[in-house]
Amino acid sequence: MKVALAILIALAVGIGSGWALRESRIPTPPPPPPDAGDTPALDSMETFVRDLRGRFEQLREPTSDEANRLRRPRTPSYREHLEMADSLGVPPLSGERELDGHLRAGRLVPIVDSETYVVRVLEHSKPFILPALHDRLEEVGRRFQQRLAEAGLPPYRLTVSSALRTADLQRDLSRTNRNAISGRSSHEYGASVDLVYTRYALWPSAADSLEVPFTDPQIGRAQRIASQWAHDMAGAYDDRLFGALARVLGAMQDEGKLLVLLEAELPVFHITLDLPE
Amino acid sequence: MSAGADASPRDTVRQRALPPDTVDVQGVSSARARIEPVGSGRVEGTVTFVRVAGGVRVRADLTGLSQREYHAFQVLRGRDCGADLTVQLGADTNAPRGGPYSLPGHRRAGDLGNVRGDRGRGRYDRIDPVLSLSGTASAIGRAVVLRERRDDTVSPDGSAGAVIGCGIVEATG
Repeated sequence: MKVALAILIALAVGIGSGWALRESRIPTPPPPPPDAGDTPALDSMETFVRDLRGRFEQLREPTSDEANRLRRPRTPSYREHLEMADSLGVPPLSGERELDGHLRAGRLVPIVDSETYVVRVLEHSKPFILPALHDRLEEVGRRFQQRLAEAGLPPYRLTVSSALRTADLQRDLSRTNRNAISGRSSHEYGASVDLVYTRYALWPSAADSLEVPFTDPQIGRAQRIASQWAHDMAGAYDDRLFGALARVLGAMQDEGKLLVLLEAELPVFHITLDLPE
Repeated sequence: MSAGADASPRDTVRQRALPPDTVDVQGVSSARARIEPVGSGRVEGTVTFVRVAGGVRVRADLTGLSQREYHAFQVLRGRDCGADLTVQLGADTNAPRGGPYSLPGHRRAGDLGNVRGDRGRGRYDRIDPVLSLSGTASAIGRAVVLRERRDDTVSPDGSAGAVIGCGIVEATG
């Protein structure tokens, strides 16, 4: 009985402190700048932050079902990703030298920052993927931003953290990363990318959401502060953004456009191109 | 006019600022910089630049970095490895500062972010949409540096400490 009571108390304390920590992650509106009052642009900052927070609150948190349906065993296994990549992708490349031919033939295309995603500095992969996956990735980004727009949020961009892996990079990665399988990876076919669900980048037009006269001399400074706040807020509400992304990816998997796997040890969605036969 | 006690801060900045670039590079599709140690640094390796659809692919393979630390990776405006960092980064002219993912207008073309020292080895592969191999802002002929610490992408010079490795970008194709 005492043990059960102790467990109950520990649980209550744990949940309570977890909630408190979560609350403390949400940034409070910035204090007015010292020269606020002289300029409508700086005056508008507090309103901007309050509105942005309100819009994030409108974005629905993911339900456990929405997240779990993209985890093993409810989602296609890694083997299915590998088989799909093998049937759609380029033959695995041993190293950099084989890349040129595939690029010239258009079998692989570069992956560069766009309006809907940014590509992180790659250490164990190369910034190239299949053209069809490129189109799918753009679609993921567009649909994600559409969901954000419905909540009145600015267009955050997704973050790609891994793309094409050559055999030498895959070997090297499997020595240091427990999450990377030691055998063949679907990344080796250019048919998969990883999307980080804890990092989002702002698209420039978000900075225009400050409604201030363009003649205001402080508008540049105000927009920089607004951008920084919008960036920080994305970090604080990454669970809401995760929910929006999970819903988009889940829908696209149901539509037969992608295979999606929520990784167990890294904060990424591993996605592979799916094409109906 | 010299930067004496009567000079305004604006005059001082104007004097220290570099003259406009006049070297107009054309027809280069690939380049390379061989990185060699500077000062107490032990960094060595190669950085390649190749023009691809959408930007310039920057690829670095380096050794001699700190274990598990990040190091600032920057293309300077200057054309020699002994150049004054503050001046070459425009740190004294209120130039925009950022990282590779910063919004347009919020970074210099040479702000490439950081390279991680993974067991001393650093790899970097990214297609940069801002960096260019042609025109007066071309990276050709400029110094590419690795620095002691991480580029914070906010402060004027990145707060990344001294240069520990440097090379000059040379056209290869």
